[in-house]
Amino acid sequence: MPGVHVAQKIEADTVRFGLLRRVRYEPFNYSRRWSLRTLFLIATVFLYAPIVVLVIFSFNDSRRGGNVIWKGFTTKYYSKAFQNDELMLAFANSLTIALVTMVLAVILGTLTAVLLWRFRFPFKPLVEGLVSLPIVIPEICMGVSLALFFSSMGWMKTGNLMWPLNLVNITIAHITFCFPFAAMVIRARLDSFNRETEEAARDLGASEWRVLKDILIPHMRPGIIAAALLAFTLSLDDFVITFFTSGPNTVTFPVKIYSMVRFSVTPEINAASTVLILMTLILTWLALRYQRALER
Amino acid sequence: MTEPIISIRGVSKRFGGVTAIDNISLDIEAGEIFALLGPSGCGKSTLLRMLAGFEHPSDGSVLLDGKDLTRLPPNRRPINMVFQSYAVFPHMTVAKNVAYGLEMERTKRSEIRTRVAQALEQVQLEGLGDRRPDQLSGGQRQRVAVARALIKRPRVLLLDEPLSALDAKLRDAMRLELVKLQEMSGVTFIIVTHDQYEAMALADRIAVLENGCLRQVDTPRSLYNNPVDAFVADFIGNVHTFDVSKIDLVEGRMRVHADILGPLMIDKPIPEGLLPGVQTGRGRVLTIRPESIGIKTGETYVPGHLTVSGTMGDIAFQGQHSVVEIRINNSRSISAIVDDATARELDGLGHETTVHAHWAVADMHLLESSIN
Ligand SMILES: Nc1ncnc2c1ncn2[C@@H]1O[C@H](COP(=O)(O)OP(=O)(O)O)[C@@H](O)[C@H]1O
Ligand SMILES: [Mg+2]
Repeated sequence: MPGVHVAQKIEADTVRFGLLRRVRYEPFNYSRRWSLRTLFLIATVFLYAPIVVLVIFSFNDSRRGGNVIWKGFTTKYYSKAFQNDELMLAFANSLTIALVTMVLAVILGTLTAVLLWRFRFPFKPLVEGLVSLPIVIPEICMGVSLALFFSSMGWMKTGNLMWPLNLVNITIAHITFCFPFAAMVIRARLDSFNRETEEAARDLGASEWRVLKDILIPHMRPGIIAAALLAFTLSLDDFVITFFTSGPNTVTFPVKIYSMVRFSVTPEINAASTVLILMTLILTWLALRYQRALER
Repeated sequence: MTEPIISIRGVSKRFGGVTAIDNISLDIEAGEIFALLGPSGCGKSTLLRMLAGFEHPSDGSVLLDGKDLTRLPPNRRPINMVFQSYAVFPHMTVAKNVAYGLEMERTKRSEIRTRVAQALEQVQLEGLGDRRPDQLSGGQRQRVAVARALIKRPRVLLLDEPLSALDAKLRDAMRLELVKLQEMSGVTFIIVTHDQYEAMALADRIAVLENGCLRQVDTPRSLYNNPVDAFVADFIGNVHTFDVSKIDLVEGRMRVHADILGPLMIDKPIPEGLLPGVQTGRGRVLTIRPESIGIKTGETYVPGHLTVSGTMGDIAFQGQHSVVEIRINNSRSISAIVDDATARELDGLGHETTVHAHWAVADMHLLESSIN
């Protein structure tokens, strides 16, 4: 039967040449589709390549940071950055603001989260909305409104106070936009809390304070750490709101880099940025390690 | 009569418009295992939580050893609880969990150590003190919860559905262990359950609840033999019910007309308020338990028995005994529990064969139906 034979041959050929290979992948089997793999690769390159380039060219022995021609390895821009007093002051300012913001935003955020999770009170949805409002409000509006607020309060002069009191305005502004993030992260963590563990502690003789200390806070701890990390990094690299609330004597690291870039792009900026990246990485790594140690 | 360890006096609990507990009065004796039994949502947990102090009665009071503790917070009551979710503290080791109650009492460290070791041994968790709760099985976590509560040497231990989250094999083992623990510790146990078999196997006395109301309190045997109404009868074991249409008194004896049974002379105490003459039987039922029903193939007369004819239905083999279904008409069938020999004999008959179910009239109860 020649007909059958031909049909079989065609089928064999189509299979061999991949014409019939209509393999259906599972919806989550992304990694097996070359199109999705390519997309993933492109996304990764666009995300990380600029950072890698920035780090590499912080070691470039060239006078201009924007220069993409490799002129040889040097670390002199690191020592230059560390000897730049203005840059170092801006760096110290940023770290101080970020640390204070972190602590206060986490305290406020924890209290807010517990309040929203635990209690029922009039206009609760309204309060919940107001708390998360700073997350969605455009930063520029926050910046302008805070600047107006501080100047109408006559607080703009605090910039002339002694360090670190001159950072009060910026710190208040940072706490304002950081604590809603902290509250949301901790609030989400509280959803997985088993209320019966709290009751069990009460049943075994714990007072309200002991319940908070022994049961609720240990449960919130991963959320608190995540919130602290978030607040710290949000504060450290904020530009818009800081720009509006800082005075000429209170320059933070991002604001300082911005003004340096406007002047001229030098590898010094690359070096300073690399230090910043390194710091955030170390901090994140420490937080993760701490969290894992707790889980063990 | 000794003084009850716990006395619940006219307690009600309302959540907004919902009445979860409706005027319950109940005494619990020291050293007994007492079960609160009822369908889901009838208010068992609410009652238990009022004993623990997590809810406060809207009305009434709770007494422990004759002293009012209605207003006392949970941490000041000598009563401890094993929660339905076990509520083991996830970030503490097993030993820490068990020690927690003693730490709250500021017990000396050396004493805590020895008592924790004892408690872990008591629930067969020796050597697991350093484990974290997420490394334990469900059964082990429950043991931690029990040890954690018993180490406080409470006057009363409350257990909310302690066996419902365990699989069938483990449930049987744990049930025996709970009884053993109770005997060893001498602590009064109050157990909440929706499972009649669990309640009957565990408890010295059972309170049956329905819709926040107390229906009956008695030993398992008395509840089974003398239920106060059809709800209790059906909840403790199973019953077939026959709606009563009419009751009349004939020479001081009751003649009961029930739907498919016809008129029957019933020698039971005559319900209060029943007058001579024709009475409406509405709201009453005649009940019979499947295990009181026999099956025969021929129409031989058994004295004192009544006979209902039907056709053979399905036979469900359950090991020791089998459940046989008899179809009386299109809408009605009754089941009987028979031994293995009878089941095998009936199995040979095949479907649609006419058989006769019979039971002693004296085994029937005239009860109020549960719709009140
Ligand atoms: N905190 C509460 N708020 C409102 N209603 C409640 C609360 N706790 C229990 N209820 C209601 O009370 C009734 C009895 O609940 P529960 O005691 O949990 O029943 P059970 O334990 O017997 O299943 C239910 O109708 C339930 O919805
Ligand atoms: Mg319940």
